[in-house]
Amino acid sequence: MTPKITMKEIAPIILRIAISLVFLWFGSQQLMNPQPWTRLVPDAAIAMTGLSPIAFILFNGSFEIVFGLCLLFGFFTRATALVLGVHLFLITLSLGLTAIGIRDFGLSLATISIFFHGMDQFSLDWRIWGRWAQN
Amino acid sequence: MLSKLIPQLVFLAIGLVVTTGLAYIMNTNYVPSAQNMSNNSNTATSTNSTPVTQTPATTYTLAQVATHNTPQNCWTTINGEVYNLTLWIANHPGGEDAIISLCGIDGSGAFNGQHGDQPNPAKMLASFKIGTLK
Repeated sequence: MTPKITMKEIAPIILRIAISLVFLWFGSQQLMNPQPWTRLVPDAAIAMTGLSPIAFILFNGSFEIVFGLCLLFGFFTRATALVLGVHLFLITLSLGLTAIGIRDFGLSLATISIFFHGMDQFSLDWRIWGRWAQN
Repeated sequence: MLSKLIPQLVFLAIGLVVTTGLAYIMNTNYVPSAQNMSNNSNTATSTNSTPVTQTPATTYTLAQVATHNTPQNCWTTINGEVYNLTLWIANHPGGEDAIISLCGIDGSGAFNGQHGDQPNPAKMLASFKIGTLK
């Protein structure tokens, strides 16, 4: 009796959902209580965008919520994983060689690996145009 | 190739519009909580919400700092300055325990060892300053 889904097929599903939950958690924290996060905003980011630190954090949190939800449901998985991966990589660069920076570097590469893999069997992409993409 | 790329770009554009809309709504309705206001009791806020730290004139002894040694009331002294880190405990990216372990004691060694040459942690720390060590 062959299983319907193999361990190799489960791996990208777990990775996609786990990474999306990380973004959703951090995004929700930023939206619920942005004040403590303003201390993490680099001065250059404020100067470039012209936003107040609070507005910057709210935009960042909204970005992570919107694209985190897309990643959770596997909607435009590749594009979503790419923007989230690059987003986290830029944060990693601003953090530098610290414990948090190294952790975020690993998370950004994990997100990029979702980009390379693309849609999986449990993603919305698979339901919407999986057959079309395969043909 | 292009036929596959266009839907992705359209999706990203819609995603950014939704993000901007959500951020605008959140920013419009944002009201600093009482907790945050008390957190910034030693700061003044300008019209564009950029925190401006004022230098407090208060001085404390190490014995006074030592009485604030719980996670609910956490003071520490770092490099001759006194900080109230109570509200930072839950938000410290490196975990709560790292801050809790500094409550009521001289945290100079721990801070300098972990963040000594980093500008962002120093900037964060400065915003929690409540005085200087006597």
